[in-house]
Amino acid sequence: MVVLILKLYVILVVLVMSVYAIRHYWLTVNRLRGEQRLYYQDLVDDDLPRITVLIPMHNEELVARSSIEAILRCEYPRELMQIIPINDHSDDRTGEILDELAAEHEIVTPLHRHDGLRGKPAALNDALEISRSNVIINFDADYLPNRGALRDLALSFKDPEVGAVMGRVVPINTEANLLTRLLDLERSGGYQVDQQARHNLKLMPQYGGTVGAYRRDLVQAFGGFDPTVLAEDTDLTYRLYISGWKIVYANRVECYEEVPETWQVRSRQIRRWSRGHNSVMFRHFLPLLKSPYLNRREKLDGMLLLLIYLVPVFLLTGIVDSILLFFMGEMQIIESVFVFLFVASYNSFGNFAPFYQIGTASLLDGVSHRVRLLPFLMFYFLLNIWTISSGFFMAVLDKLQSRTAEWEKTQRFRKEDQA
Amino acid sequence: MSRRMMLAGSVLVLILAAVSLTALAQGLIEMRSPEVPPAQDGGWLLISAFVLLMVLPFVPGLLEVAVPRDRYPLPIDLEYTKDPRYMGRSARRLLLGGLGDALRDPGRHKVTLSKPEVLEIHDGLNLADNGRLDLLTWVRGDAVFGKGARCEEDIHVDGGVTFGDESFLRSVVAQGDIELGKGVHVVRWIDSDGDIVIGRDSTLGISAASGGSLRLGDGSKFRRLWGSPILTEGHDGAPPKPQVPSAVPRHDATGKTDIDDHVTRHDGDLLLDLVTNDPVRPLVVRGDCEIGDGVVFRAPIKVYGGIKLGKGAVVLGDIFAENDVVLGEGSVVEGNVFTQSAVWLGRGARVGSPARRTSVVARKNVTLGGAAAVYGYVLTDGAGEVACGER
Repeated sequence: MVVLILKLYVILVVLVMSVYAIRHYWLTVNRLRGEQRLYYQDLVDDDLPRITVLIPMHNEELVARSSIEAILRCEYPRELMQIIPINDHSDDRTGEILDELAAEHEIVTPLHRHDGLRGKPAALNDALEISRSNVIINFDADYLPNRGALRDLALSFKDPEVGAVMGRVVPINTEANLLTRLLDLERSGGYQVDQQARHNLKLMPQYGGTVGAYRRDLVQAFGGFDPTVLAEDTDLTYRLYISGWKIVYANRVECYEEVPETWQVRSRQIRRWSRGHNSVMFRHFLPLLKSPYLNRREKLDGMLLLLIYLVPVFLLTGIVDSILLFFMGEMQIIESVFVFLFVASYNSFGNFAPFYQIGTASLLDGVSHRVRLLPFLMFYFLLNIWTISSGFFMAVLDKLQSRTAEWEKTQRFRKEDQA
Repeated sequence: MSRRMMLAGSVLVLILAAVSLTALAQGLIEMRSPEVPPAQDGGWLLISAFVLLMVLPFVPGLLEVAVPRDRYPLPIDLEYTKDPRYMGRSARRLLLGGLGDALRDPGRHKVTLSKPEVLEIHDGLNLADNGRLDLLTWVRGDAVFGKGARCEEDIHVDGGVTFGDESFLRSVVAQGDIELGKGVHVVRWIDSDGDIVIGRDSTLGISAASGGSLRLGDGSKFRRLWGSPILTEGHDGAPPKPQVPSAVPRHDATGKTDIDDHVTRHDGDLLLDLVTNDPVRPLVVRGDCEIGDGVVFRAPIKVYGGIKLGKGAVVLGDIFAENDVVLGEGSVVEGNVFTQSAVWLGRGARVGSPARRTSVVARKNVTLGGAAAVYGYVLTDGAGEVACGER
């Protein structure tokens, strides 16, 4: 009986992995050969919406000034613009820098938080209360947008069905080491191919929490961001889709970000993402399937996206399962020439699906030698299997014990002179 | 040196790792099946090939790590903003930036713009019929090009410029008005601070942008247009009359309607031809939509299918559609028209207004009928054409 269960589980893992491999290829082929949907960046309209830019900051003295100055350089009518940098319990010079900027620029209105809940969702909720606009644009503290970014993001809300929009992030510290270069490749695949293809296919592009925008009244109608959720962006993504709104992806709205430079910091970051994403998965899986506003394709894509941080858990447990079966001498699971052909095909193509996606993104981005680093992503993926799995089990414990995860800020690496 | 050492070290580590893995695998096999004989000489050959195949994919990457050739961030143009007149403005900037004051006298000068070129400067220019210009040209006054003129390089004109019928030009940027005769072929773009008049059956390259009005003759072909207004043949140039909003029309042809605080969503096709007093909300139609003759709708509309505006119908908001957008005779859209398919503006149709410049954006074709007007921007990824005949 135990052997039968172990064998069935191996088959399940193989099927799950195959579904995701097919998804990778489908999206990649669409990006390469399919029709590319227009985004709203080509609209020219004298009637722009009033916007508020929110920048949550916790101990960001190294980057606070440069980030806000980058936003002030953006081309957008000043009378329609408000910038709220949120000083969230900082104990460095962040608050002082923000007050200096507020004195220099009337549209900069800092929000200082010294009590109440810590963390991005709680900080955003407080800022939404004092915002004077319905279109809210979010940037992280280390982001440097191009001059047209605000206009390109805000224009998408001309579409009455758009609840949120997501731009593209590009790592700026790629030179630092092999890890940052691998993260650069991974980001390319995620945005240039994955997000854009889902936009093309009218599936479910994801709101990523930064370089993005949303309607304030919708978020407030949902009761604001849930401060107990670590992935408030994924939570908003699903709330919007389930209640009939759309999210669009703006590949042209590019923005530099800083990625982790040490494996420890990256591990903590991705563990946090996994924990947050999986808690969102527990919350929205059934409502997603029941939503009357989504068609079958959207539901399938939404389900695959919700389960994405569960795949490494499947893989890890599948490997352990197959090792057990190997030592039990029970590796003969299904005997058929078709199974052999399937396994051979998967080994030839399926295993390489993510690499194919990232390679395609590199091709579209016009890069040259960095694509040679692709094989090294294997080691990075191995790390992800472990950290994402541990994040999943933490999310399970959160659910079982009804405990609240604490927000953890990602360490910055920018030097003062670079800021 | 340190990079080479790092490279050599990395290769060594990988080889050792691969050998260890192989040995481990071999050991596991022997442990599970003691009858399998230990590797003989041929076996070591296989193991060596295995190790080589394990290491080989990493060699190009190791070289890139050791001697980085592509380590910088992906380039983002941090200065990028949407500017419908980007072509003309950047060409003008490039020209003025590449010239010293000493090089502004009439005659030929060697200049370096994006590449080394010869620039010919004229105080004024009058090129005879079938004349030819092969050099980058700057005219500091007005310029007149006769019928059948051919200009192989960019032309900058400080005054106005006229091209005769059947002329061929690469690009022209003028501070005064531009007038193109019939059947003129533009390879790249034209840009004017003043007004532009395009003759019949002309081809306008990738962009025609005007700081004033842009008038298009029947049969003109285009990709991008910018002007306030853009008028097609037959339009008298009179400013539009302000629209008086009527009550909100709504009539369900098929399907069901779902209204929340933000939008009205309708599943199925919808015909708007009745006038009611419902509150105005943006409308999302999951099907096709038709707006009846003379009906005025005051909010934006998003349509999953196509949308057709009847004769004299008015939409005071934007239109977003997945399929074709057809604006009937004399119909008006005060906001933008955006579709993943094609747009057709009927005779006398209008998009935008002098008070609000907007856009017509289509992934497929854009067809402008006679006496049509667009205040602002027209862009198509397909083919753009002025067709004044009856459709």
